[in-house]
Amino acid sequence: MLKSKLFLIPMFILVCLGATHQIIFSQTPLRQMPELLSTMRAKEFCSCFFMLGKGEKYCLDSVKKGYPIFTYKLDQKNKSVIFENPIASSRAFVQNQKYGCNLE
Amino acid sequence: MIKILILLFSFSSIASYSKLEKFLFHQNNPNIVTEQFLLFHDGEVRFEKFEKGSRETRHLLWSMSKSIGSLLFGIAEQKGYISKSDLISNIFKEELNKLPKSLQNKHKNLKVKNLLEMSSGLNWNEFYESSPFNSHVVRMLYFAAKESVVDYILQVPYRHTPGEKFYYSSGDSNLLMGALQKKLPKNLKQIFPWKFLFDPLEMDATFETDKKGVFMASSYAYLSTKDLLKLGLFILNKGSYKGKQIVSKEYIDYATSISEAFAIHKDCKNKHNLSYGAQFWLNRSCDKNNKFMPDAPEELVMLLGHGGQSVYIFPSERIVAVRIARDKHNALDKNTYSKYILNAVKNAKE
Repeated sequence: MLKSKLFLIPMFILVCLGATHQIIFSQTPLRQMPELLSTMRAKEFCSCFFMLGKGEKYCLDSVKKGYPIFTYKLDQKNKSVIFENPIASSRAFVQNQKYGCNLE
Repeated sequence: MIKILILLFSFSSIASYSKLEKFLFHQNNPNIVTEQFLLFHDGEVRFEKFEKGSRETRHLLWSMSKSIGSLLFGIAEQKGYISKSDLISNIFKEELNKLPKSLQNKHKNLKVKNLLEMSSGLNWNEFYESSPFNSHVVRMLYFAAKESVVDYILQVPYRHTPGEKFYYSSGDSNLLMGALQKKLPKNLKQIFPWKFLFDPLEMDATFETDKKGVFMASSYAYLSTKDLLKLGLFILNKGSYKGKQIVSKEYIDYATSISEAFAIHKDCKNKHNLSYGAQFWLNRSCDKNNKFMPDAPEELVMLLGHGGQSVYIFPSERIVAVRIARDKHNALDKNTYSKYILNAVKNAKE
């Protein structure tokens, strides 16, 4: 039983090394990643849904990028969208047809 | 008799494009997904197919926007607002004052021309698909755009001396737009792309900005398929539209010739790489027998964007091909694609 779980040790070390590498060398420090995910999603969803006129489901799928979506609030009347996760929240809105979507 | 001849001609024309259609739309490769294709040759659209949408469907151009930025620069230069030889340190005095002295000094040799030719020398990380959190592009688009992309790009340290090496960088494209915005008169800053490019070309365009109003030529222009064709024809016609010269022929020639920075780059003699002008991709090579796409002409000019979307311009053959796609891993072979286009046009003529 113990032997079968031994493979977890090198995996744990690898995960730790990966996280350390991200913290030290990443352009985006680990603590900013939740914010990055929410801003990326808000901006790209805004472009996809309001500017390109694609469907809500299509746009949600295209901004998922393998990470879970916690909450999002779509305001069709004001042409804006908010993506939230436990740490960060970002809003993107349509400025107008010429200048497209902007992040708040 | 005439009717039969017309019918025969239409059948032979359909047959010549069927191989191209099969290559684009019916490949047994899940990484190649063509949504729309439009082929213009010698005065008219010869073949078009839309799996999704129509000619009017708008698309986010991603990196194809860079070529629009280049055209805007060309117009502004001919109007005397900006010059290739302008120094970045003179344009962004206020912004540079916020930076450490050592970095301010390094920016002293950076010229607008270096930005146009992707040779700023900034230590930029363009890769975003494999490692989005390590990418300067991702940070620029989703963090810096909330404030100022110019401030963000100017704080990136140097890798090389400006002009010394070609390095594809979305930061160079947006800093170029920042310089343009700074040099334009106040009343033109926000309307310049429409007043001098999109409206004269009768295009319905969206061009997004950062919070300071800098156009995001790295990625964020939107055009319909119909307008992308118009853009391709505009390049084909050397900057002229309906008889009016909107961008000078000299600028189009400059932008679609191998840049000085690329010519001295090792990749110029390496057939595994496309060459580069001023925000346009090219098939030209330093050594004529060593071009990237052996079956495509030297003068081929390309606008290339995320997901395989593209506008190919074959000047001598008078062909423009617009492709809207959702490819993965750059799966479509550019040489084969060019070959299919050229063969289809050739067979249709015979």
